[in-house]
Amino acid sequence: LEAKDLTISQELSHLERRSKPPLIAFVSLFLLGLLISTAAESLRDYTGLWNKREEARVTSPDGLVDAVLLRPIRYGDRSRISLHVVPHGEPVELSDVMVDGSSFEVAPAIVWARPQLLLMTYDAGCIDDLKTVWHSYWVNGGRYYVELRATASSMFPCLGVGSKPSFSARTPR
Amino acid sequence: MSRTSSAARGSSLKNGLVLLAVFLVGLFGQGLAKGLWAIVLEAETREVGRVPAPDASEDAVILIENDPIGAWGPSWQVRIVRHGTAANKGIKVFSARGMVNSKLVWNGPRLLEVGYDRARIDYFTNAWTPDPHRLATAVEIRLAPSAPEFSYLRIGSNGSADPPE
Repeated sequence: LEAKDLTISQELSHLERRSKPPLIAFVSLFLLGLLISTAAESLRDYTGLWNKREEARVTSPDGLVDAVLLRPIRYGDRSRISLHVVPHGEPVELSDVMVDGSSFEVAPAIVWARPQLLLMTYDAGCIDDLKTVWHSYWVNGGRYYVELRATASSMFPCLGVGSKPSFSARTPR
Repeated sequence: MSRTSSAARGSSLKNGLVLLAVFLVGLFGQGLAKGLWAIVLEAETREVGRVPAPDASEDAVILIENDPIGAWGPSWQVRIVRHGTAANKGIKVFSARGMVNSKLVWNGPRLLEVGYDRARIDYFTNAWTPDPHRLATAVEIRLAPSAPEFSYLRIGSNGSADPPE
């Protein structure tokens, strides 16, 4: 009986060794997961862009980059805007955003004060997120920066004075 | 024989679960890495200034968050909190790197100005409310850079605007 037990235990350990998946299976599945997550992100960007139109595209004085203002076409709040900087003539990547705003019934004015200095002027609107410096490794050998300066012409562009504030609730970040 | 076949079944189930785990790590790897990064390299913040609103309902607080790996330097944050409460209970309305001469000024009980000589702003929102159902208590926030043109980039001898060294 002991000999039989020994044989079974040897057989079990042999089976365990034999049924272990090869390393390539682990690597392939990891890469498949990574690929699916990247594809999902690209798809989200693509479908997001499908619902946006370029309200303005302004080329910088040196012709190297464009400032692009987007607004939803059909779905979602049409008073939302987003401002992007892209290499000249290139499509927008939604994840690379300089300004994300809401309650912009009138689009902000976008002007290049000089190469690398972008001005955004607005009278009414809420800024939900803003970054002031943009950089790309694809422009001028990776040594090209753009600074954004956003200026409101009124004292209370988001809340308004004497009017009902129009911005939505924010959660702590 | 039944012992060997049930062991084989157990082993293949274990392998299947390990393979599934590897797939999920690939799928959610970016989010997991970010979460782990935040846990392992938890940044410390310290309050460096607090300015109460004229009606003393809120405080604007400026904090410095250290850079745990020393790659980007410290980050400056502005948070608005109910008067006298801890800064970490507030909502962030501004964050920047490389900030020089930061200044918080209340131009009225509902209007806060964030002044600076230099800053690379990573996040800014121009409105804050403690309660979405009480919008009368909301605060508008304005940026007030002292420089008329560039506030972060500097024009070099070749005429190109670059970040400071």
